[in-house]
Amino acid sequence: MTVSSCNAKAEAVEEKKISNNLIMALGIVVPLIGIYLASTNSLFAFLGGIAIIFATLWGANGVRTVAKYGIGTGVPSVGMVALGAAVAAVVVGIYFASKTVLLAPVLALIFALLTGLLIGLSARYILKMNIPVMVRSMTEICGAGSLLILAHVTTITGSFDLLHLKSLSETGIVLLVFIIGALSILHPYNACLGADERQGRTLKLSLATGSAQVILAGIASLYFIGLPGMLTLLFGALAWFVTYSMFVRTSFEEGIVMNTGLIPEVEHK
Amino acid sequence: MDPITIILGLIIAGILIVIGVHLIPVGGAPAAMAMATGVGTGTVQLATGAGLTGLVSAGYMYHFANVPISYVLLSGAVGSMLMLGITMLVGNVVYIFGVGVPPVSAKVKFDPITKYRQDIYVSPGTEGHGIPTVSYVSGIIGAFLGGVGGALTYVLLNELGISSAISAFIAIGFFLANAVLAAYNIAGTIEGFHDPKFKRLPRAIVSSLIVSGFIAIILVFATSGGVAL
Repeated sequence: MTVSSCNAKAEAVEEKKISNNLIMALGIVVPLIGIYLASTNSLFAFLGGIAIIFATLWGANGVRTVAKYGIGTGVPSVGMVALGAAVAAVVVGIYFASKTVLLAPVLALIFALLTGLLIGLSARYILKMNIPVMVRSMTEICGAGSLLILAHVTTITGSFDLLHLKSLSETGIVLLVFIIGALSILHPYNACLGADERQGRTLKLSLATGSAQVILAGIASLYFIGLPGMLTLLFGALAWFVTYSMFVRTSFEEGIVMNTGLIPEVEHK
Repeated sequence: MDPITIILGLIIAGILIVIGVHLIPVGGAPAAMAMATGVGTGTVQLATGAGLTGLVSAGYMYHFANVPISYVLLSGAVGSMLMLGITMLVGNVVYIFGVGVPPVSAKVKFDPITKYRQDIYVSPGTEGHGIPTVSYVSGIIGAFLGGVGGALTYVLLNELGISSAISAFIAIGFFLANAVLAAYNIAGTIEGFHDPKFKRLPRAIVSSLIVSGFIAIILVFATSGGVAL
């Protein structure tokens, strides 16, 4: 492939940037619907898997937006704060909604967004980090973290009330949720970062990490909701296979070997 | 315990965590290549490792040993100090015997504790390597403060009436949120209390005050049962 055709391809690829607003809309609406549907019947618990995947997508896009500026602390710290700050918000949301349980996800999302907003504002104006997207991205990341935790709780236990959160915590599975959630939000950008990082490819990887979480959530849900957990497991495996092969195919298409002339031709033979 | 005490306690815990993280010698990616002083990993990873170990020891003391709360806090601190001490010791073994560099600080000419000369041992093109005595001591103090902060969070959340498992869950999140604020303030690497970056600490304390205060207030409101939708 010649240099000019590479450039042409890179430009064509660059045009297809998905707007952050669209991803935010998807990341709020789809997980909320998924969480509500999954909580209606344990047979529909696998729909929580869709919520997990889209919440991860939203979070990973937020991490990508802010970490592109090179904040100097490494991408993992951005991903860990997503779940770290969202935990308290989720618990608060569930406690506040103890009478009207259906309000819990919305309240958790609102409190997480507020926590994220505060972290973003203090990072931008008190810690004086010169990153314009800091406030918005931290808000988005924390919101995604709260939806991700709730989606996990719903997928694994079949409900999102206090009782189920307690049983999830007491078995220790909540730690798994915490770590795989944070990892799958931070991993896509951490793995793809570099000069030729492209939003489409990073987001494809985030779909794959989201689906991988659904597999683990499916295994964990076998303990809580029994056989319907197999549906989640199968759905996750299928989604992971499709999305991960999409990512690998894109990587192969976009990975280009170019002979720059620096290495002698002889050594190639 | 009354709610105001708990809110104040959580804010103090947050500030302790932030100060603790500033004292831990973090080298980040450059230190992983022995090109900067400190342990070769990110701030949040180091602080989390130490904080979680502290949480385990504090949790054990709180639930299974009939001792005053100060002992619980101290055992959390000891857990953190042990974890970070071992991490730094093993890191130093690798730096000294594996990479073959002397532990040295590039930020000061003489080690404030041992008074050993530093600058002549810094390899050209690097910013020090390994964990010198002053950074080690600083890290141990940082782990002490972080451990007390983490244990205090856990104890206060338990006193608030949240179940112990969920308390641990929130305590981890609270610890991480504060550790990340400190990490943003440090922005990369720090050697310990002798590092010029340590002077930025007040900013991190103010931001931790805001964030921990918000989290503490919503937690106390939600769990006091006064407001239920």
